[in-house]
Amino acid sequence: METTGKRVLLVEDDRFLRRACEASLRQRGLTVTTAADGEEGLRLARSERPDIVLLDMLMPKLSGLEVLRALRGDEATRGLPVLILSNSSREQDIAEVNRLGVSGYFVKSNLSLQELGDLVGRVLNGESA
Amino acid sequence: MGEQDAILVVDADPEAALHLSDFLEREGYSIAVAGTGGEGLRRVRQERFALVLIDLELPDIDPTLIVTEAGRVEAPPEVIVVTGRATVDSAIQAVESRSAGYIVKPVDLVRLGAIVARVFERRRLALDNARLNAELTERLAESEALAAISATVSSTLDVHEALRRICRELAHLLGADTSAAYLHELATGQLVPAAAYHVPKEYLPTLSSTPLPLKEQGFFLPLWADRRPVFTDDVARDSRFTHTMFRSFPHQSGLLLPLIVDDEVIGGFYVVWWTMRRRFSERDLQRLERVCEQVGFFLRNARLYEQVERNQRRLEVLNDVSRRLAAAHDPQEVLTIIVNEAARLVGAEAAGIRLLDGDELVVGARTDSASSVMSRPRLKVGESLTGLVVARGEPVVVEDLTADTRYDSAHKQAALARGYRGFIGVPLNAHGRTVGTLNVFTRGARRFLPDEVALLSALADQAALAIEKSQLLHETQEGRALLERLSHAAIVMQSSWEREDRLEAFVRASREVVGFDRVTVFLLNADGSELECVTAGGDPDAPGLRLPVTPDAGPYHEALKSRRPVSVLSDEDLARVLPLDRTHLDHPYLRSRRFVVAPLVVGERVIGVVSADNKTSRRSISRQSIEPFSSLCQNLAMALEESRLYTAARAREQEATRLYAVTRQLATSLDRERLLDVIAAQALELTGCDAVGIFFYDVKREALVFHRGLHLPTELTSGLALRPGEGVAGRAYLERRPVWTRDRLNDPAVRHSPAAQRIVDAAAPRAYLAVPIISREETHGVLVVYMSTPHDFTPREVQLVSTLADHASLALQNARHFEEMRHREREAKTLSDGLVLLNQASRALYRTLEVDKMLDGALKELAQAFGASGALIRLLAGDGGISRSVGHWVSAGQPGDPGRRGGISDYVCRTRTPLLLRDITKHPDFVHPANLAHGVRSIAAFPIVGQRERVLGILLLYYTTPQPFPDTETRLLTSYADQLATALENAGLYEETQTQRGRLTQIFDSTSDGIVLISPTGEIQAANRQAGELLSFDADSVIGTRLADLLASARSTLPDYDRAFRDLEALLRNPGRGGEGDLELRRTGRTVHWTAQPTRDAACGIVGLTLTLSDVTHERQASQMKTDFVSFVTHQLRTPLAGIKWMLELAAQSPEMAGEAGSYVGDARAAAERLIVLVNDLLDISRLESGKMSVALQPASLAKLTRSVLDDLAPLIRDKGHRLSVQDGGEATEVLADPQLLRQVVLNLTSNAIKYTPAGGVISIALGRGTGPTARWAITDSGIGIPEGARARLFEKFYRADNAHTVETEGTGLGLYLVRLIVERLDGQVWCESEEGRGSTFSFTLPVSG
Repeated sequence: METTGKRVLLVEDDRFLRRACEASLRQRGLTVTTAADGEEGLRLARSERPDIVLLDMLMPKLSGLEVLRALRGDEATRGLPVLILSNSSREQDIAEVNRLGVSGYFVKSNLSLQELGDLVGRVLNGESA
Repeated sequence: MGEQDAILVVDADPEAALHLSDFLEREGYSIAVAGTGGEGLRRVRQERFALVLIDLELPDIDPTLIVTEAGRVEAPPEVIVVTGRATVDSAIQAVESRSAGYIVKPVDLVRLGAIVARVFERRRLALDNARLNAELTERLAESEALAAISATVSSTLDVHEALRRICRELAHLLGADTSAAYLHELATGQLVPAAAYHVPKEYLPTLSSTPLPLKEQGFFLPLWADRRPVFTDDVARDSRFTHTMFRSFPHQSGLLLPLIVDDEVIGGFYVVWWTMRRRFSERDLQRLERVCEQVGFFLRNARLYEQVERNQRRLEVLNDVSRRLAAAHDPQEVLTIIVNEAARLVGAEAAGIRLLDGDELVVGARTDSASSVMSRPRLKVGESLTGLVVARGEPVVVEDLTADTRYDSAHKQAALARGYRGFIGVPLNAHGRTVGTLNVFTRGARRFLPDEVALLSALADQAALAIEKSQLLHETQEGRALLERLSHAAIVMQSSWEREDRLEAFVRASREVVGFDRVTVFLLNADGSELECVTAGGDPDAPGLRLPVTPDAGPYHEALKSRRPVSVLSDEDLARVLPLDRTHLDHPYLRSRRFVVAPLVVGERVIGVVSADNKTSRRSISRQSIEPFSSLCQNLAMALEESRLYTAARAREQEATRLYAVTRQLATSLDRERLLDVIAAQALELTGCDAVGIFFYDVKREALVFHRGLHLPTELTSGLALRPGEGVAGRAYLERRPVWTRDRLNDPAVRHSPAAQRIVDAAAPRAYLAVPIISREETHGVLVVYMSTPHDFTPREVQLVSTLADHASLALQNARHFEEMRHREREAKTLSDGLVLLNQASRALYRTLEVDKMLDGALKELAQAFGASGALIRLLAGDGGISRSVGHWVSAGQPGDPGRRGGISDYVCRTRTPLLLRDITKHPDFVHPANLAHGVRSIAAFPIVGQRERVLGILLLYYTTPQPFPDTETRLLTSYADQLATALENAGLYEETQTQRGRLTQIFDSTSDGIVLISPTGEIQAANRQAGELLSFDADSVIGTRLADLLASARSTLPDYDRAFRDLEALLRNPGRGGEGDLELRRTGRTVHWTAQPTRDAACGIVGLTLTLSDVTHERQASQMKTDFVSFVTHQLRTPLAGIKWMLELAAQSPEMAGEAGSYVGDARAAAERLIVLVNDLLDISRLESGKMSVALQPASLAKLTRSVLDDLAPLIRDKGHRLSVQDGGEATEVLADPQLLRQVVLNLTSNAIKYTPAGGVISIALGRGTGPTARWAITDSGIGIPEGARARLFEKFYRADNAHTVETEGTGLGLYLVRLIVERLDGQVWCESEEGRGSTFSFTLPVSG
């Protein structure tokens, strides 16, 4: 399926990462909205209705986990695909986000942009990440 | 070795059991192994073992159960405790279970061998003792039975009663049900039942009444000719026992014993077991032969007595008959009485008298039964047996007409035809002529005794007299009156048995009835050379008068020779008779010119003459008086012969009675010397000799020397030593037969050595008779009787002394048996006392573990049991010097043997062998003089040898009397010394463990860690103070509490209670694995780290758990901080790293980034990747190290994982041009693991292989199953390999082998460390094999799933 024009919400507090990621996804023809903290991310997720959310874990204001909880707690965003991009590989966090339901949990430094793009593409196509 | 030698090994550890049984089997023992306590218990109950080796470590039951059980069974086995726990507890347990030994694992086989050999030795001793006792009991039973037989037989002179008693004693002796005695009856050739014991009523007619034809029996030859016992344990099927008697009553076993008297088989005993199968060994049979021998001997007296008694009875009958005959006047009546009495006296079926009528024989009288055999009214002289008797004028005796060869069959035909087999015929003589015969016939063959023939002759004489009398009767009335007076005189003559009475009655009758003045009786002396005057009726000159039996004796000689009266009634008569020699005519008595000389004839013999005259009154002698006088002389002759026989019979009866008394006396004593005294005294009394001596052969002096005697001069008894063959006694000894001399002074056959001759000349009596004392082919000595004057020893006397010598030999033999038995009994008693003592002493040894106390108690009992005056133990110090002595000494103080060099202790110590000094005076250089001063005579010393041949000490026994030290005693004491060694070592072990215990307690309490010892079942065995402080309990009061209970009581303060509980359970289930963990204590806010390790004994067996506790509160806090820090740092690092990585990725994609700049960007990306890997590794390591990483175990396919990794690494492999292959054996290699972590392992190992293998190298991966339920993954490369020194440290953190740098500088030294952490976390193992320069193989195993 064609993913061009699909909307991606990228919630990432680190601006270098945000920039690189946004650039890479755009090159793939995706529409990218970015948020620099959790609060903004949650608001945009609700207002913008993206097709997929890329969510960092450790962020100012609201952590990724809190955002995810809020999304899953809201009927409107319950089914929204979320990919967690974290730098922590703490098991409690992974267990918790898996419980709430995400399309994947990845350590950013272990992932290349190429791989990230492929992942997003697969999720958008309804395949497993 | 029999089955009682088997050893049972009870050990739950199959390897240990195999080790033990292998060794013991090689040593020649048979072994049974019980793998569990239950099996051990069962086998100890059901089977017989000599020894049980038991491990105290049995999972299923308490081993002491088995030890207790072993003590309860019959013939309890010894127990040796084998333990892997050389602890105080196990030592005490072994000691308390009174085990014969205590062996610590790993087993010292030499020591085990020594202990086992000792146990068997002791067991063999006990068995020996039991056997000895059994043998003795048997011998005792035999001796008792013989004594009983002897006593019982000696107390009766009735043969049948004696036989019945022997039957009874035999049955008792042999444990038989029934027995019967048979006597051989010559007449019929049958064995006739004579006595029986314990015969059931219904079988009485069979067993005790049926005679057995001897020669038809299958056992005839062995029993009769070989004189051996014959037995069968299955009568019904034995071809030797075919007579209906044996088959008609149902019995299982039978034993026939020959009855031998005076070297002649006279009958036998049949001993019966109704149901038992009784067999006899060769030894049993030999014993029985001995019994038979003695039985026969005992029976001899009774038989002798019986014969004498029978003769005497006959004489009495004869006397009675004579009196009846004297009163009877009808010759027919007289002859009838005679034939009937003759048959009765001899026990014959038929008897008769034939008288000469012209030249034919007519029947004079016969018993009714003789009508057939004497059916012919007339016989010619010389015809038939009867005619033969008359023709020969002498007795004819045929014992068995069928077997006889002496007489022509024509003579025997008539008797045989009428069924008779035995015959005696004696002639009837009157006035020197044979006038008829008296015959007796017996149905069976018979051995006729000389007495019986004499008896019949006497009856025949009576018959002749009766016939004569009847002739007289017919002559005159005056003759009748005379006859009556003569009859009366004859009756008077027979009213007394005394010879003098009879002579006196005769003289009186001669005077009164016949009317002679002087009547003198002359009897022939013993050798028939002289006539001696035995009575002189009225002439004082006659006594002492002797006449030669030559023509010099004139008319006396004539009367003797002609057997007719010589009467000189006139001068013509005087001229006709032979005159007396002149020398005799000088004698006043013989100067007679009118006289009568009548012979005294008994049957065939003339025994003397009677002379009568009227010299005093000078009356003439009437011719009519000759016949009655002659008749009266006949009566006298018979009366004298009867009297002689009677006297002889009485003498023999007395002799038999006396012998019987001797036998009884001998039977009552078993004391040799007393017996010899009795025999000497009896010899003196029975033979009427003057002195008696018993001489024994002295092997040392090689001569016969005096042993015992009566009335012998001391010169003879002390000085005389006769070589065999020298003198009379020496010859009797050498020739083994009686030898005598009438008068040593005139006997050239008596020769002595000069020395002996001097003594004999000075002191010996004149006549002596020597009889050898022989038993069982061995001559012991000689019995000698002495007469002080020359003496002719009669056969009777020789026989008597021989009988005494036989008695002596038998009595000596019995006495010797008895002494031997007593000796062996003593020996057995010593042995059995010794064994009892050994057990007692062993107990004493085990009662206490304090050395001196123990030795003190043991030595006291030891000295007592072995009759020693003192017992001492010298204990040696490690350097071999004597450390101290413990002991009991009979008197105050101790014998001063300070154990100097060359002394007893030194010798025993050096040689390690016992030293037995029977007489210490012979070893002055060995023995300290102080011993002698103390009165010590014998010393026995034994080394006490412990493990590794170390001499622990010396056991010394001191005796004040010389000791023979029999073998059994020495063996016992040696065994005892071994026991001492074990006890000493046990005591040493005890002391050592006590010391160790103290030391351990010190260490235990002084360590800073808490230590808790836990039993396999989870109880706290020990806990130190620190453990109590850490876990908040009182260390002393928790001993014995289950740790789980302790945990439960603190549940509320333990946040991780469930996990701690599970850990504990897992540990107890499998204590070998050990484990560790933290315990957070909420109440104190502390964290306690525990490490559980299996508690192992000396043999590495697991006997529980040791928990080491340490307070790690601070470490845990620090560690948490470290983890948090690492986590924080890595997280913080990862964000910029991801930024760098992604920016560079974007940059690399930029079309502007080409050429050189592009390659810089590429390098920057690789550097960033390395940093990321490093951070990831650090993070993983940190989490694995801290235990914070939880793993999600799930089935993972090693094969798939490997393929996936290889896919990822494919570019690298391609770059280096490696040939890579995967060998998948196709086995299930699905493992239980966390796939992510496992992937990292495979990835690390594979990328290492690629890294360190030069381009174009070979890499192969092998997949397969490992040992047990594991899968194995291995990768082999042809790379640079790993130096040997590096291999051990390869999996350490930050370690890199030296040559690694030569290939690749990027390594962190974390990869293999991480591999190891992961594999171990996944319960697997990883290792490496390598050869530098040639390549390496890295392998790991992981548990398979499912």
